[in-house]
Amino acid sequence: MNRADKQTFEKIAFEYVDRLHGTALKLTRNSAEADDLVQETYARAFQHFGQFEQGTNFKAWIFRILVNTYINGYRRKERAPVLVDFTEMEPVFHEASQEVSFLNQPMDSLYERLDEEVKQALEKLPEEYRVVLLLASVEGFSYEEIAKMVGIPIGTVMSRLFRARALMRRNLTDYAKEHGLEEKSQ
Amino acid sequence: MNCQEARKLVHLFVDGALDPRANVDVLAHVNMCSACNDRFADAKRFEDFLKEKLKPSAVPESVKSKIEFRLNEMCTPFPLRLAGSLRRKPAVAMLGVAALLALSFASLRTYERMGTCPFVVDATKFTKQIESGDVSTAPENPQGQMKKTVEQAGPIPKLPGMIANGGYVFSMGPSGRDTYACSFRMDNCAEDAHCLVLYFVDFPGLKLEDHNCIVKHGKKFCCWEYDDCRVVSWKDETRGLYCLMVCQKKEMEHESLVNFASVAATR
Repeated sequence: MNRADKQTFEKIAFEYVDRLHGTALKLTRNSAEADDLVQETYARAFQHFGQFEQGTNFKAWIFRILVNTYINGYRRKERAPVLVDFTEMEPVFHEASQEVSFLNQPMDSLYERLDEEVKQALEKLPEEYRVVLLLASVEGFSYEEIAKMVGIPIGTVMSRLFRARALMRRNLTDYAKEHGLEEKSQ
Repeated sequence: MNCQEARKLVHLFVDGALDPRANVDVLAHVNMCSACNDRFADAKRFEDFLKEKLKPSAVPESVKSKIEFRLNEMCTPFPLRLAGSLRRKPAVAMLGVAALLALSFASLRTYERMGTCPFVVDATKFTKQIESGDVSTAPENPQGQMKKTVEQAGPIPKLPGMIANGGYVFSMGPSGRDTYACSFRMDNCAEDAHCLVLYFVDFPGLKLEDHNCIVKHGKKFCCWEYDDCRVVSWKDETRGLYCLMVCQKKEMEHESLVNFASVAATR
């Protein structure tokens, strides 16, 4: 790679540095590790920039590198994922129809007060759930793109995403109840 | 579409993952059903809430600088990169030099300790080549360093009950030491048989550690087994030679081999 390649790469890649760093931070839950993870992601992406097909989705490409780098190198043993096999989609969709409504929660109050709570709720999620939730809900990747990034079937992406949202709801709803917010809304 | 069917699709709808036909069906139901309408609105609202709360903040400039620095390094040729890294970290450079020196010293010590091994390995290999007729005998008038080695070895020793077949020249060991070898057969064997082979390696400075030694007439003979062969080695200080005698395991035991070696060593 020469200087000209670097300039081209930086022009495209630095557009996503905030998003990559944000995801890295939520994955590693440690700013120093997030810095290292993003650096490593950029280094690998630059090294293989020649393999990137111009005109295809660069954001998906570099996020895939980030996720792979994280899974292969930055996942701590003590944070090893809880292994869950959700091959049967039907029960998942059944549960989806039984969800507790979030509408009754006073959203404006939560917006003001839940920053730290959302962070904690996210940290409580098993790693697999957290990865797909961030990629889908925050970065807006499709199920197919996430499946390629994480290396799992699309059905697994869907089930993990549903579980992640359900757990987030549960954690945040508990918070609302604890602080009497539910009563105020009624 | 009924409520149960619609609610199963709420996440796919929010994620925009429904195919157009299903999307139309869901919208048609939601517009007619206030309960499902609330449910879908709630799911969308929760998704927007997560997206808003989890959106990334601007990355610190220091992180961008580190990335740029890393990319710059990747554009720099390796020797310059290494030199730059070491200049920035003199302690690492000094540690590296110390580690290299220690490694070199350790290698030398290891070589001294294991010095015979490469020759044992080579000697068994050449013995098999001689037996299979893959090598030709030494020239009658060897030249240069090889001539010196042959002269140092002196006349082929006479071993009791053995007949000398002929001489061979090789380079042995990791440093390619000149070696003169002669093969022997028992006097009742066919002319093309090779019962044992005697090697004279020109290696006056070689240091040896004892290895399964048998003492015969006050001289130590190291015994080895390698690749179906038995080997006896000793040092001929007066000639500056390292000597090895090799035979197939089936031919004789170490003790018998040491008896022949002792004759060759005391000639």
